[in-house]
Amino acid sequence: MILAETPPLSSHIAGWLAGLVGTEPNWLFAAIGALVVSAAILLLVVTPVGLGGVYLERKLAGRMQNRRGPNRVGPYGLLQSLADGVKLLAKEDILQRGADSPLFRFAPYLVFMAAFAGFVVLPFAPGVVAADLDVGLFYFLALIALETVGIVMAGWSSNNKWSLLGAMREVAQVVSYELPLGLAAMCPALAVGSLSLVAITDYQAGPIWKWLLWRDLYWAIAMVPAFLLFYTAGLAAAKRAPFDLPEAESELTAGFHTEYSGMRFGMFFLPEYAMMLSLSAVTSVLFLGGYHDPLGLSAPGGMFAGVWWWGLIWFFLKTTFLFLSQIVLRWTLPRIRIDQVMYLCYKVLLPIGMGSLLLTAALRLLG
Amino acid sequence: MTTIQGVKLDQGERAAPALPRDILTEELVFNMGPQHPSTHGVLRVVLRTDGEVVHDCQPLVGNLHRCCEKILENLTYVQGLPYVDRMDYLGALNMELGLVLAVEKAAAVEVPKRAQYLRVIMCEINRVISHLFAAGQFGLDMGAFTPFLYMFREREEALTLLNEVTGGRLLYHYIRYGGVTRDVTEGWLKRCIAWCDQVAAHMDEYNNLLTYNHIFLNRTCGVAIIDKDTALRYAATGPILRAAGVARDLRKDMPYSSYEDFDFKVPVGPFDKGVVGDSWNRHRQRLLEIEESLKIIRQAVAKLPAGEVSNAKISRGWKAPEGEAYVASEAPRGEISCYFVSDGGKAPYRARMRGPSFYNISLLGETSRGLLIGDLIALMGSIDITLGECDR
Amino acid sequence: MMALRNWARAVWMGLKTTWVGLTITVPYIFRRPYTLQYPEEVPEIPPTERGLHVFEIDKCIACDQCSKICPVDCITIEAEGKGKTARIRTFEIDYSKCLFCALCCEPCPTECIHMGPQFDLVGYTRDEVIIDYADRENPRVFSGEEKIPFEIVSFSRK
Ligand code: SF4
Ligand code: SF4
Repeated sequence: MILAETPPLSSHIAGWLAGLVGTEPNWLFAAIGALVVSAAILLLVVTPVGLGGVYLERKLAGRMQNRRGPNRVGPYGLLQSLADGVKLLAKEDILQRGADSPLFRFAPYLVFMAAFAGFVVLPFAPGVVAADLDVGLFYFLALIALETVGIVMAGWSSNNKWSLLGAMREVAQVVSYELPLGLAAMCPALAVGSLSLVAITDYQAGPIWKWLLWRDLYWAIAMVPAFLLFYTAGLAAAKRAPFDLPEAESELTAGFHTEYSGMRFGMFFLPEYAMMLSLSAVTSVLFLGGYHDPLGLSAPGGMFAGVWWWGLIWFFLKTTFLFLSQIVLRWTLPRIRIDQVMYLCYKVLLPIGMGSLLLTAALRLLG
Repeated sequence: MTTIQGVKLDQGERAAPALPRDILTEELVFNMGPQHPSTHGVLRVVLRTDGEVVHDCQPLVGNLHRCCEKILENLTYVQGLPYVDRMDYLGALNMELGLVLAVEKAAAVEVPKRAQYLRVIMCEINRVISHLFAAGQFGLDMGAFTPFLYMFREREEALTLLNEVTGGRLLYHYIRYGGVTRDVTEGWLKRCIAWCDQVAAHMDEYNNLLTYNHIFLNRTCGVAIIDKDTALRYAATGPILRAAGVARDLRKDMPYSSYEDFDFKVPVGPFDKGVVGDSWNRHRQRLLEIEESLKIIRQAVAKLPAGEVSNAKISRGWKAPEGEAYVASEAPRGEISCYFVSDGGKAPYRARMRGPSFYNISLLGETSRGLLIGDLIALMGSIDITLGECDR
Repeated sequence: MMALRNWARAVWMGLKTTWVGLTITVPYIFRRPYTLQYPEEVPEIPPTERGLHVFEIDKCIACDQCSKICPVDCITIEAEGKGKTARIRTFEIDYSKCLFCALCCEPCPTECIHMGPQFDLVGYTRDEVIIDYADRENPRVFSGEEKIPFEIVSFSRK
């Protein structure tokens, strides 16, 4: 969100660095400046978001189960995730015998990168978007697939059969949920006529009935199924229960990350929450109007048109709601079996996806 | 629709498709346990699988072997009892009862009626919490964490109740030769009934959240069927046998400790979903048995006769007269029976315990063939073993 | 047609079962948690609890009955003299072995060893869980006149 205004910031840093050395700013300093800025963003914005997600999940799970959840570290246990992070950092980093060392070490980074890179295209508020790509939605879906590569790498290189099985399941799951996910994402894209997340958001400007989910009410017949589809497939993409098969702890001990310890494990752990968050955000952008409020105050000509903090609040509210719903679902439902995941994706979700895509196309043609 | 072991499945598709000849497939050998989360203790299972499909599976038991029977032969009668608790630590009172009944039969010891009723009450409470644990654990294996903790809430209350009378929360050392250690108070009986109401009130919650959850049904219905034949061939007992359609409950068939005084049903599978002897039926069986046990507790509390709780003739240095006896009784996991021989000495000459888990776990090999790994977990969870009693 | 009906039913059941599950779990978020905050909130321990032993040292006559009946031989007694004049030098209970069975309390002729309400004992080494009850500094050791500050239930079965 700072990135939109950051090119000057990174060039400031570049200029300052060049001044230190006493030369003109050149491409090297520009690159260093950009690196520093993105590292700072990762450290200051994204990681707290992930840690907050972990905290929320544990607290909510606790309350759902008649427990208290974390409440020891800091007020209301707020610093628990931080303490866990420190613990993970201090732990020994184990590389077991027989592991494929380069792959084993690289896999967590790939997963981490893929999960966090998705934040780049999210329109947090009017004008606050790191990169308004024309193919933002496509880019986001591609990143989800990239994460899989990291997971397969981790499973393969661990030299552990349970990890291998976890990786196998991940692949089986990916090939099944990618299709319905893509189809569901295509419905709003088709309705708007753009793959840019900003364009999709702004198409939904106005009061609540302008949201794509029930735009002018009659769109609901195509969009409600698409929304449910995207949400369900999104659960599978974020590897959340009931689709947490790649790590199914009661079946595969810990699935693909069985052998990881310390911060490398953290690198798998945090992206899960980042993924949930970015998926929730994209869901809210596609169907729930993104940063637009339900009263239409942020529509062009409205009271808060183009006000970034107003948009940010609504974006945050919608995303958090979806995020919380994912958590609540996880602690309510049992896990699905791997063949049932495929059954569900191919035989249930895919037809729904095709149906709603057809309906969307028809609605667009008609009006 | 596929058939497995001659039984048609109507829930979920699962066929392992025949692979073309030129695809090389290799069998994987998995070592599941002793540190696997779903082996419920220190069970080691060696699996041969083709990807996710289990070809063969062999449970290797004995990691928790403590020579329990030999220890019994080396200690005096009184000293041996706390050890029996440690066999099936989830149904400790039923274990105690198993040994005590055999010794009492061999020595022809009179047990006061009140003590018998108290034994029934305590053992049934123990059965309820053991079944709650098993059902919750099964949910946990299926990925449903929340019902497990809801069940633990009721279990916790029961442990408090038991603690008040027996002094222990897990290992009770309550049932002694000739009676029990301590009497109960009126207040305790009231709270006991209140607890029964509480469990009964939460039964719907468990059922709606777990038992009749559609995902759970899909995971367990028609999965890992142990039919009547197989169960009988492997001498399986307890909920497994009853869910397979055999109405065998020793509390009804060979009443001991005044069980004949109580009116209760023996639930027998199949129930309203799934096929007879599948994982879901075993789970449902336990929940239904909880309801029957609650009935027994209520009756026993209502009818509790006055009198002594212990036979005064049994003293600390008591020696059983020469003789032998075999008594079988119904523990939560199945038939616990004890063959006991005394040569008149201060320790038993032989005390052989037959624990149900050992026999039930041996079903794993035959039943698991052709299952997916996720189903194998369902099978193991629904068999519900305690390794302490399996390995002894 | 049949297949389509089954399909629609599966979709419907999936949605319904999720809804039913949520109606059970979500209200719990707003209820009071059941758990106790252990070190601050101590659970109520009934007097019958078979916790760490409580020992009345002046009553003990060093008769060795308790250590004889102990199934795991975890009581070690050393004393000068016997009977009323006995002076206990060591009375060690090894809690790494103890079964908490309360058998040691049963034969004691003077009823001087009891099971107390304390249930937590931790140590970094195995030696730390061997407790000497001849040590009068031990909070679970009481002299003859001292009143034990909690209810003691007799396990005696003489
Ligand atoms: S409680 Fe049992 S095991 Fe412990 S010291 Fe007393 S007799 Fe020995
Ligand atoms: S039995 Fe009682 S009196 Fe005898 S040694 Fe033990 S504690 Fe002392």
